[in-house]
Amino acid sequence: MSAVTHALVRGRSAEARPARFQTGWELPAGITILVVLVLTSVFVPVISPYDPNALSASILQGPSAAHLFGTDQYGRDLLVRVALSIRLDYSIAIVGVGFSLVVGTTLGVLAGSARRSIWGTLLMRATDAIISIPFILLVLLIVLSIGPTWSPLGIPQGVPALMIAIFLTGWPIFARISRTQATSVMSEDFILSAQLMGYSKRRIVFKHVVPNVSSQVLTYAMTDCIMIIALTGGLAFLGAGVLPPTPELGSIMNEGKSIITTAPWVTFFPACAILLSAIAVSLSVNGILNRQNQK
Amino acid sequence: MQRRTTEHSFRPRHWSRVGLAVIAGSAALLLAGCTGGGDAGPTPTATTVSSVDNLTVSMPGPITGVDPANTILQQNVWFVHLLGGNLFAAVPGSSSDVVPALAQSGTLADDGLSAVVTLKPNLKFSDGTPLTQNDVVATYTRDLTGKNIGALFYAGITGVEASGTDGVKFTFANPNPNYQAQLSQFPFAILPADSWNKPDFVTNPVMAGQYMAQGDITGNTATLVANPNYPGPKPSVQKLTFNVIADADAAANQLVSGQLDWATQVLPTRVATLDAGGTDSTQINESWGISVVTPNDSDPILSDVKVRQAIGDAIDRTQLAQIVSSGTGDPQTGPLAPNFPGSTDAANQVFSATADTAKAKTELAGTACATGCSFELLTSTATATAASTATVLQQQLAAIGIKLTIVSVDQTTFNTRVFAKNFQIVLTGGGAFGYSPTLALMLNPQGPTKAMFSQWPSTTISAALLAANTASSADQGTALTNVVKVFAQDVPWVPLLSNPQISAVKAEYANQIFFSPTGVPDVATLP
Amino acid sequence: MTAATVTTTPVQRRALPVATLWRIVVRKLLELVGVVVTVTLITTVLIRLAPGSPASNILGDAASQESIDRLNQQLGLNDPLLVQVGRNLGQLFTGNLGSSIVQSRPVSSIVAQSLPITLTLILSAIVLAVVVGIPIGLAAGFSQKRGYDQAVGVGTSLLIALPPFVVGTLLIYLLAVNFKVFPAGGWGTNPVTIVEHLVLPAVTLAILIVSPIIRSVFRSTRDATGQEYVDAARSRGVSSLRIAFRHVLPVVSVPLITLLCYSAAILIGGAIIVEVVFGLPGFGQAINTAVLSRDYPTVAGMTLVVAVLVVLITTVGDLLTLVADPRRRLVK
Repeated sequence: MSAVTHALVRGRSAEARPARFQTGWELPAGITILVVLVLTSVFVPVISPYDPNALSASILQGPSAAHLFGTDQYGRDLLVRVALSIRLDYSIAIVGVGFSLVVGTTLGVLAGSARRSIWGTLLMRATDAIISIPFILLVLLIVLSIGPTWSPLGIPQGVPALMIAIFLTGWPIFARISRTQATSVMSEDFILSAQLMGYSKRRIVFKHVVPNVSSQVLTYAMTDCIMIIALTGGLAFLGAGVLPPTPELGSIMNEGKSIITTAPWVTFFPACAILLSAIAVSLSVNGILNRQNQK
Repeated sequence: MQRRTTEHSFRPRHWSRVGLAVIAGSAALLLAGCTGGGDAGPTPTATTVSSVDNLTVSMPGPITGVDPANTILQQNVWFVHLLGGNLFAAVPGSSSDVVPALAQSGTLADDGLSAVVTLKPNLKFSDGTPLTQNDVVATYTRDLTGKNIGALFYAGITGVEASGTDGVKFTFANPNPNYQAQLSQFPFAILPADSWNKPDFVTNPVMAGQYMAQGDITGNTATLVANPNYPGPKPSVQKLTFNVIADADAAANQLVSGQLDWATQVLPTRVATLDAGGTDSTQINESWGISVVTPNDSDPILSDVKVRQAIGDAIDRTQLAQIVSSGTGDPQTGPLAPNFPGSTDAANQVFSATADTAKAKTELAGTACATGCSFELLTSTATATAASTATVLQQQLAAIGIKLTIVSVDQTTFNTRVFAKNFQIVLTGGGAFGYSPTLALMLNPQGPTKAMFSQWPSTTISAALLAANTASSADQGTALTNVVKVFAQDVPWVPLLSNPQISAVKAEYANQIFFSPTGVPDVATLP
Repeated sequence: MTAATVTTTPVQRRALPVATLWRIVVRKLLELVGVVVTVTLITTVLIRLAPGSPASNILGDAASQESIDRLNQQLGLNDPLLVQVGRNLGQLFTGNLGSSIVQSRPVSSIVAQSLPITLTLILSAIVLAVVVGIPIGLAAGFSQKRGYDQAVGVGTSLLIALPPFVVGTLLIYLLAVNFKVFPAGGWGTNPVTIVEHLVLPAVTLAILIVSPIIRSVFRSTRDATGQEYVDAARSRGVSSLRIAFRHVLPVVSVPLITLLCYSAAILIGGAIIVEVVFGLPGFGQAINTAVLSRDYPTVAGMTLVVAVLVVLITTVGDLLTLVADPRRRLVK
């Protein structure tokens, strides 16, 4: 995952985008979809009469007025479960990617703006090793290591292992992106003049390097979140994701897998949630990049 | 479709022999945490089968070892059964008949305390080397003296020695008229003396059964071919190709699209689609067992019988059957499995089919669990329906304040923890609790399952079981009722469902390959 | 890999001296050693963190403490961490990946048996994705119409967000179970049946990689079509198809190959899921089985194989970038 998105971001950033695409609707549209999804995930469980985990006699019923998204094989209301899943999946992605972003970017900026390149080299070698283990494999290894049921602080089972894996695979990419960006900013003429003018290093880093790095890193983070959510779905299939009964998009789809011909709605709605999120993020990222290019 | 073709006709004459045949299987299946067969669906002896060149079969994981003395994982047990040559062999598909295989004959001493088994002449292992009485004695001595898993199946056998030039003499602790059935179980497969010390024992096993390994069997595909040196009845399938397909859905799909002839594990939710229309070329085979949860009675809270009773009463078995088995299973309210005499009697209704939450709460009052408590429910990933069963139990027990944390582990870890009694509540999916002696095994504090289940220190149950075992056919009903009464007082485990082991086979091979009553794959023999 | 992400000011183009190239290769190989050491360290630490003793997990059942101790000794789990890492590395340099404790066979034999299947799967997926992705990317990039930008962005995002196991399941139900066009899973025994068995898994895996390909081709095409020589060719009345082949495709191909090299990790990760969905007896399924059965030496050995493969392929990507684009040589 990492390498591709890495390359994607690289592809995006390295090439100047044609100035003629100045439509401003993408960012608002993307954000609107995200806001709707988040509001759904917050309010549906609050106002819904159904307990997400309660069993009922209405098993595998198609979408109806009583159950807008239908019910699963346990007779649980899928609307509530999908809504809660969105909340959980977004949290996992945001926390996992957020930590990687902070740690990775800090390391990357430090290494990129350091005078001695040894730090940068060491950092890059460490990232080489970690990036060379595929994300899915690393999650499996971590689950094998700490056990799938480890759940400190009442976090649902399986979530801590996922977050650790997202962090471990995530920070190297942020470190790479930000180091690259920092290095190239540091070689710009205005940095040289700032140095000549006697500005402190801290000032240069915060005033010039960080702003230049941040937009890059943020747009990558958003794309990464979607990748994480999609991959988490696959992990449920391998038995390494979030453990039941906690609703999670991937595990709902996994439960629907064997009944996909007789009860397609069980798989359809969580898949829609992921796809909608992906569209929203894609639009937002495009919008952000467009605005940036217009500057 | 053949469904619920349970042998309801109870045959007292075969009582103990059948039981013994099931003992070994059920213990293995319980250990394997899989859904084991009660009575097999098809009765293949009724139709004549013709020889088939090759059938492709799914198995849940790769073969990890075929040492008969140390085999627990489901697919390993299958292979030991197919590869292993025993002195006696169960007739495929039958739950009662044993025929001589490597043995010519067996003679029980008048006092029943010893038996001499004579070997057939010129026996050979699959590699052509001669099989002698020394190999038999060496194989069994190793199990009798060692600390192997297989030793569990040796209960009652106290010694084995050579007798004459081609005989082996067994001595027993108690009169053992059913020793032939006992010797037909998979841990009694005969190995060349000392072969278990060879480094390639697992990948290239030499045995003397119906089949022999072709090439390495530990990969994703394992091939067995008929063993030309086998002196017993010849199998009707010349070659069996086992493909590792971990996902039960994937196996069902491959059956439909034609890569598989037999999908050995099918989820209940797929039964309807696989079995639809009658035009379909697949056939569902079901064999019966019951699934249970066993509270660990050495746990400080669960040692209180009131808590165990409350768990039993709080479970809505009708809902469980509806969700977990998609209508293929039925509520199991007492210890007697559906193929027992008296299983439908009122006495066997220890618990009700629907939840009795009020009763459960009354029972909990005054226990350590009165204001709620939480337990870990241990399940195995190898049991297809474990996840759904656990999810339902979790919700149902929450109604009486019992919070279950589901701990789903791989098969090996599962076995380890169960053996070490390192669990609070464990879910075992439908072992075959067949006839009375198997029940005795479950309940008897001295039985081989003692190590894994509650070491139920009850003298009353021993007496009740002994009475049931020795009762005349007229009195068996009463004797079993007595067993159920003791069970209801102590609740050593909580019955959930009588649910089938479901497999799907191409219709033309339905009488050719199937699960035996002991839950291992059997191939119909040629006449 | 870092080099590829750097943009510097253009300098004069000149051929890459062979000596420089060799120096880079040697440095990359040295880096590879570093990766091997780090990955060995990671797997050793993760295995040590595992709850309970690996030996008791493996022996399971009613294993005696004696036999548990013996296996722990055999696995070297009683030694200090660094000694373990050192020993594992030592083994590695003699070409030994260790032995599976579940399957009683060397890890190298598991790898040898399963890796060709996975490589076949991945290569087929790449071919499929390239064959489909390039024309789409070219067509979208060539068209100067507004909105293609968004269409490509949203469309490819959708493809990225489709979980492979859902795609695979749908394909199986549709084309294998319903219409019986392709087998639902498993692996063939001869070239014809292998191709039959390969189609659905390769399509599933290709969906994972086709989005980045389309995006990359689209961007490169957009860039290339903005160049003066393309405008010049256009004004000379050269056909679009000819422009695409003569001028654009060469520009597109370098970032594309680099992208594919950098996608090694995601493809191997995706192969784990795809192989389990389709029951392919490949590397991915083998490593998943090893993880589930707590076969620690196999997990460690196979992880290392994956890591080395990924680094090697990535290095190829780096070198290609260097050869193709001399500007990047200046960095570092």
